[in-house]
Amino acid sequence: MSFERSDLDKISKLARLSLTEAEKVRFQKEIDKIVDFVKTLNEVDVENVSPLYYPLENNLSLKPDEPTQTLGLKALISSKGYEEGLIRVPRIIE
Amino acid sequence: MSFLKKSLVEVVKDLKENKTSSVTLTKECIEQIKRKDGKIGAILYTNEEKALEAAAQSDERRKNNRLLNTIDGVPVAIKDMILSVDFPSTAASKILEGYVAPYDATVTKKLKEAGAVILGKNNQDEFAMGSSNENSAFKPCYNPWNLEHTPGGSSGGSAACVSAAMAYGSLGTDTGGSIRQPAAFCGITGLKPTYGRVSRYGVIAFASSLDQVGPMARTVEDCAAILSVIAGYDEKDSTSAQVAVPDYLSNLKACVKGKKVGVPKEYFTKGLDDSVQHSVNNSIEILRKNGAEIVELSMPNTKYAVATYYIISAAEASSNLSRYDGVRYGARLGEEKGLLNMYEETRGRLFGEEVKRRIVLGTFVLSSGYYDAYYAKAQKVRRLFANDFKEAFSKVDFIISPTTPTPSFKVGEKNSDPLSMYLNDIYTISANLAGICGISLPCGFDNKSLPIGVQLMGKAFDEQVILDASYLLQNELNINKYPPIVD
Repeated sequence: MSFERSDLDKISKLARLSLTEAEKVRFQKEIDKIVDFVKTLNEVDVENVSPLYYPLENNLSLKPDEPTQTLGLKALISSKGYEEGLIRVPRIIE
Repeated sequence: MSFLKKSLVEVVKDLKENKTSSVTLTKECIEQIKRKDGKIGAILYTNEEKALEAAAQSDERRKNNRLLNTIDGVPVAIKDMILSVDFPSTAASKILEGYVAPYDATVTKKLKEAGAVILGKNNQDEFAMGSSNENSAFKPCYNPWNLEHTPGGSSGGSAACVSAAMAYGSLGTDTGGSIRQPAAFCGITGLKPTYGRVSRYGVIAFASSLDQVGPMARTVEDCAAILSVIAGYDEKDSTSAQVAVPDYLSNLKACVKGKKVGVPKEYFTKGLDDSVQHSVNNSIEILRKNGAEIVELSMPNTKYAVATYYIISAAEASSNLSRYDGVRYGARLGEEKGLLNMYEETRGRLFGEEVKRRIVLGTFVLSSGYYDAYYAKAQKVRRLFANDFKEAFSKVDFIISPTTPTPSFKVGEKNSDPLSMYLNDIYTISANLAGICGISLPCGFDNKSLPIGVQLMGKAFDEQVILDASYLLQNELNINKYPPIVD
């Protein structure tokens, strides 16, 4: 098996996803099949081939290092925990 | 007189000749949506007041001879994952239910600055993950040609909306074929620009090295007009290219004389439906009769395209979707049991299945012990795709192929086996991996009257080349039909 239940338990924790038992049973089988399929890349000879992270490799442009207009508080008010200019979340440190 | 069964460029002419007004066109589209969308499901959100206000402003500008652009006053729609301050933006996901963005995407801003009237947000597969629009968290979308069939995806709503004459154009997004495949399924034209041609600022990200926004409309001329509006460098998107934007519509020339057209043999093998093969071969013959030289190509890495794409896109998606944690925007669940529980429950309960599946796959291929075998390997294979196309374009001016292996499939036919759904994208995916441009236009129908699409692919920034060739094909094929449901 390329993707076992123990892999799913570990990965869903890392990805911060709570899955039901039914989902776990289904996902393990489906993802195992997909991982088996993508293993076909093992056949490909990539010796001396450099990775292509994104198509326009030599194009990345930088902005001047100057402050521009920001959204300010507008960026925060969509939060379910918005309160007077801050975002409230559950306690982080016990 | 109804203007619904007209192309974008045709209504631009009608507006110019005062045969109609933007308010009239907008009202007609709104009525069409009210009459037909209950059965089709192409639209998630509308804003009638805002649309009519924009239309009235356009008519006022026209009266005072102050038009902003060719498409000033034309009603269009945009895919849900493209941000607008005038509508919710949810990427068809429960995790963003009710979210209204505080800013417009650059493409939204450009449409507004051109005077276009934005009617609403189109339905889609959740977070652009899907090929059938069956993964929308809110409602399904059906193919206007046959309501038992899918419109394709992930820009299924955009394709269905244009096909059913609810708008004169829509902006979709294409990561692995999500503009071209639904365009083919719904019998319209859709173009995926070169990576970097159009800004991604304000477009909810799925896979940042693959995503592109592009036009979906009735005709090649319509796509050309919209592309000129939305394309161009944006300093807010450092992956956008500093390449001048031509006037694609004015430059349009229906001519392929002297052009070399590549036909990749690996795109014409087992699994290709007979009716698709027949229609695409007919298109190739049309190009030959019009002076093009047909060149057989081999692109041997084609069989690895789907595997390469699903590793890379899932990996990038797992990173991009980590921001949906209930903290800053969108819905929030489970906070009473602590922060970790808030993350896990919000994401676990509010992301759909396909999204969760891809996040798990993506996290797995990036995880310690597997990164080199899967992700790093896929990025090297990606280089081989780019090399294959570079090699091909040294011999030919553009490439022709089917857009999809079959016409639209039935709702429910493929959604029990994710892998069989993924294999639909076999012909479209390579263009995203290499970052080149591609267009799909209608080239025929199967024996069930379902549309078939033909795809043209051009090298980076050669949109004019594929638009020109498509324009010739479109004129020779002359199959601009509307599905019966439009009437």
